[in-house]
Amino acid sequence: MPRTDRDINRREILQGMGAAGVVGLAGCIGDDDDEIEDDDTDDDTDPGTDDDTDPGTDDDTDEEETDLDEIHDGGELVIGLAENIADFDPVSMNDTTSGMTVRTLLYEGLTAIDFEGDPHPGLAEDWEQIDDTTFEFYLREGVQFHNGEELHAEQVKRSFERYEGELREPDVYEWYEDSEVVDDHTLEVHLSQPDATMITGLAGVPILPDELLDGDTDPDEHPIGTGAYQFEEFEDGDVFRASRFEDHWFEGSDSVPETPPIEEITCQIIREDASRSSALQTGDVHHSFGLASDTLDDFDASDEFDLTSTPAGGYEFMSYPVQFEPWDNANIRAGVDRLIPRPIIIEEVYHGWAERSDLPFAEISGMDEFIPDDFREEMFEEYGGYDIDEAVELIEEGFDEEGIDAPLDVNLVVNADNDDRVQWTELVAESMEQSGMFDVELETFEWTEYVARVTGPGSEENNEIVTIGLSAGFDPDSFIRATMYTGRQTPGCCNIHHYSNDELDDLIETGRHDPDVAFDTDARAEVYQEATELIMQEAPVSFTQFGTEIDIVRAGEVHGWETHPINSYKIIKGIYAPESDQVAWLDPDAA
Amino acid sequence: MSLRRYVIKRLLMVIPVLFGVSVITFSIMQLVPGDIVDVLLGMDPNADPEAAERLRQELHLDRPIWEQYLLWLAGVLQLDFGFSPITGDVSETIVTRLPATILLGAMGWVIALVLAIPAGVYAAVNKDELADDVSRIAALFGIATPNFWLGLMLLLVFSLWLGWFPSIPPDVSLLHPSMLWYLLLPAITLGTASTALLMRIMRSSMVEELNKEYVRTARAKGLPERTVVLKHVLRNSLISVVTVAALMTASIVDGAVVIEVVFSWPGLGEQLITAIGQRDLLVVQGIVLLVGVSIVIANLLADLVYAWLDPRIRY
Amino acid sequence: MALLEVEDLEVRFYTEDGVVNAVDGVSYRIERGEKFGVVGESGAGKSVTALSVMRLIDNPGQIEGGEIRFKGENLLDMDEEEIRSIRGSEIAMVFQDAQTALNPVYSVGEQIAEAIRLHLGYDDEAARDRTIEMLERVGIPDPADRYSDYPHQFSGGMQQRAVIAMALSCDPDLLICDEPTTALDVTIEAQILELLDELADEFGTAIQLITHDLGVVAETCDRVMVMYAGKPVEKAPVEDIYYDPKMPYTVGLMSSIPRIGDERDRLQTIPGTMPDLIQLPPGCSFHPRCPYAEEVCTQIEPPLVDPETGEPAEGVDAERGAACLAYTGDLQNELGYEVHVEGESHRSAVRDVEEITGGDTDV
Repeated sequence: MPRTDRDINRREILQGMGAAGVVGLAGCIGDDDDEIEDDDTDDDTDPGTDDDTDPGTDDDTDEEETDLDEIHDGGELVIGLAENIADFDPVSMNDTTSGMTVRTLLYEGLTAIDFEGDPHPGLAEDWEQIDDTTFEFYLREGVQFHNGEELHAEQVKRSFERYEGELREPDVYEWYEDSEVVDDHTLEVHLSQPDATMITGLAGVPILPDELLDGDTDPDEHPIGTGAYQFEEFEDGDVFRASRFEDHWFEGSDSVPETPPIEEITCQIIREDASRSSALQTGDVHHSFGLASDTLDDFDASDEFDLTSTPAGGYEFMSYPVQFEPWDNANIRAGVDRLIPRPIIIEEVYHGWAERSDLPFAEISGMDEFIPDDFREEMFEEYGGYDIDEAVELIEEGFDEEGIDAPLDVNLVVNADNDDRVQWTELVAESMEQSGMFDVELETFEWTEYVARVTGPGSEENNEIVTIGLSAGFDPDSFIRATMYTGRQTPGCCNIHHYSNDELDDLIETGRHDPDVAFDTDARAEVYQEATELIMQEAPVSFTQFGTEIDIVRAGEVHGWETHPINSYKIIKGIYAPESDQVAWLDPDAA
Repeated sequence: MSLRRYVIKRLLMVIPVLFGVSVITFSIMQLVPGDIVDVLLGMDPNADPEAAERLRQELHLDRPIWEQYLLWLAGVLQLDFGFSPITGDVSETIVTRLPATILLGAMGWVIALVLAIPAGVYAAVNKDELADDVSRIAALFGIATPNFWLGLMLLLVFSLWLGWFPSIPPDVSLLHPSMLWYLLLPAITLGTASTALLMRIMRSSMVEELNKEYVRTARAKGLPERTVVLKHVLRNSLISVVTVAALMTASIVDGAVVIEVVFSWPGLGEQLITAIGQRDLLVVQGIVLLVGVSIVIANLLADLVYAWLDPRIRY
Repeated sequence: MALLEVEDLEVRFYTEDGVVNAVDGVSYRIERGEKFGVVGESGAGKSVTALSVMRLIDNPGQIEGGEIRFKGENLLDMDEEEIRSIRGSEIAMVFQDAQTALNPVYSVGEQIAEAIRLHLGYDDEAARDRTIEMLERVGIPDPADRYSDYPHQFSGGMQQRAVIAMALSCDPDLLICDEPTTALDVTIEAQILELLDELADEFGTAIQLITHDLGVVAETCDRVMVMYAGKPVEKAPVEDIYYDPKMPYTVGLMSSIPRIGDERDRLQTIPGTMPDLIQLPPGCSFHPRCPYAEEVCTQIEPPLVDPETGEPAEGVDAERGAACLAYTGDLQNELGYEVHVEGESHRSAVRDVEEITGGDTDV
């Protein structure tokens, strides 16, 4: 598939991913092709059942079990956003702020993902896999758009096909071949190749009404979806407003009312971290995120705020210049990997608000399914962990093989405008120096220039170790494909140094697209375990830490807020996610 | 020469300056390393070649550079700053943001004048006394304090601790009283450095004027000291202050860039930061041109006020 | 009762370098309508004396002692408001350099009208009319048109006329003119002096004319006080000063009066300079420059005495006085000079003071 190789746009690279989570530039994975459907044959997500799914899967909402009677209806939730909303059209938006305010709040897809990344019925109340490459979707009846239109199958087909040639084309065309409208509420979709990530990916593909599809209204001017909230107004760079959509299709359940309790949502754009932090403290906003790591402990400790966090999909990594000697030597790379002081980085740089990354898959990738604990421990014993002696041994071995003497001159590059990243890169540089094996030069670049340097043409020709962040999601594929797959060599994202390993390529492709593997958890697990071991030995890149999604809300004023691991689902999942029994409400008596 | 002729002459002198401003602004695009179209399209390796071609046409990149300049200038004169592939119509972007910045700038400016002139007068009249020393130290702090830090401190103290001000702009129209109240903190932040500088200029100018003989004449007439200072001395002292106040426009504009970010104020400065971050060069160009022109106009106004204050200027 | 009585005035300036005795024991009086000259080189304390009368001594200057009685009331006892009501209205002042004395940014007319409005309580229009009248009276052509002109649009002579108009606008009883013609050329000077003279007569205004130029005094004044280093050194009716100067310093000043047609530098004066007022020489302040000085002059400070009788003449009412040890009998030699006056009266005479060396000059 020629398209496969241009499926991640460079804007998915994270300019700022701290403990504070993925902010801004990441097109997050819950909504693009790297998304996996976890296992749609699994019992607890049987799409045939009622809207309400098994509450047992929702660990996150257990803490505050909401009683429908307690919930106060009404009120305005004010959110402090760190970035402007750059784009209103789902086919071209490439930042998470646009995602969380427009795409996931106002629009809905055929499926909905919960806090674990499991798919649930969305606009499709059921679906059926006819064969490896054919699915039939049965649309919910009586779904209304904000403009009063009714949902029908033709709109779904056109909404998919609208992606063709657009920036986010891969969201759909990674698997989409074409589709047939069987009747008003049935759509048969033909896939170009089997895809393990399609069903969850659909949650991030908004369905548009005819008014937008026909071009009568520009989605950039006035987004119209089926979501629980409808667009009110947007003042560029200043404020975004949405209000509750009273005719939303959801009919209510034991734990979630039929419409969201919060009546209005106002997003204030407050760029400066400190200003946003004080707006939260004065009560001018109820909720914010993306705050500086060193303030999080204070918020966490304060009674005035509720801080919720969850391991998330973003990661930071270093890419080795494998086109240059001696970096083509796996021993040296694996050695450097063991010089990365991960525990210190998490503690000192991220103040504990990040996850260690001794293995290439973060917790949210379904690691416990794909990589069982014993395997994980085995891998860690064998290859992982911060160990200078082991590291030096590996590196010396590598140097011997290459016939070079220590210390080796190394260039490390990083973008200057991300303090956290600069700090951890410095820690790595220090550790490399201390091993006595390297002389390290650290160079910093301005963000835009940096992106062009590390993802533009010729990035592999720079003999330097690159440090950068990337977003990933609920599927293991999203953690390894972008940086190691041959088809992802630059220009594009993000095989920066053009690493190429047929064996690994094969595993990556098989894990996602092989019809015998893609829909079978056990088969996938085997593939990803194999990939893990290969990656640990080869270390084409080193993951330094995985991100954490963090939300801070004013305690007592906002009840029931939960943090979704995917940044661009933050708002809607935080306040109203029927498939996860998740609902938040405002206390009218508080402050 | 009459005042009118002076004004006309001064207006004509603006033309070459504006020409210079336009050339420099235009060259922003020329000085960007690499292909300008690539940069405008966000260095996106997957960018649509058609979009690139369209942009190339729009910017007349196939023409010689002087033609590009003239075509661009012709557009600018009709307030058409081009169409950014990132944010759309640049004029529209600017027009949306402009009122907020003008309001902030004007308030900062007024605060600077309102604080600096009386303080400068007071310090001058009480030269070398306690008030003068206090004002000197205050001015030093005012000049040395970075806007950014001051803004955050004001937010911290008056908004967070004392709760007198909201920490984000209220949801009302620009000229609503509660919006103006909110604007007080950013405006003070903006005006502080200028206030300090202006106050010192006012003071030294006033001290100098107070030693002039016409002051003795005025006193010998039996005028109350108030009249002597506020009528006779002030007007003369203001002549040098006006020049500085005009130059202040530049520092107010650059102060606004930082302050708008701190106070989440949706103005041009905030837009400029975003635009630079996104390499949205057409917007950067538009804003830079606007800033340049506004500084030229500020200086022109200063010269006119100058002429009004000092009848000798015209001759 | 005299219009103005200054008694034992002492003014000191507290500077960083030390205390300057700018005026030290000055007494004089001016009668109504009288023209009184104060003569001396710059730094002699003339202007300070004048400004003291206006109570316009600024920091670091202080009036340390004495009384200034205007119409019998001590100006030094008045509060700021009282003195302001006298300034510009009953006592007005004409300054040396009209160009700098006028505020460049207000029209000439406004600057005059301002005082009229203040002291006479006229409304804008009446003040304007009176201003135009005054401008006309001081000889400014097209006064109504010139009303709104700015100072820089006036010539030097016109500026001084305007200042005079300003000073006379509220019909003061006393006009203090501080070197009113120094900045002007000779022909204009004559016109201005004539104008002053004429107006003083017309308005019945007394004039205290301050100048370093005895010639000017001769043209204008009735009585004269000569000051040196902050002290009065000679007081006399103007004829006496001319025909019979008693103090060597006065004599020196006389020899510096330019003669008509004389091309010599007009300010060529007595050799040497005024002493440093912070450290005055002991004895007679003038002794370092005095051709007749003797040993005793360095020791005894000469009091102001009647040169005929040797009686003290330091009081307000003393008509004739000179401060020289020659009149107290302390000097061994005579003051050896003669005064020749050609012409009929002192007012138009060409004077020639011929110096005859006498006594010890090597001091």
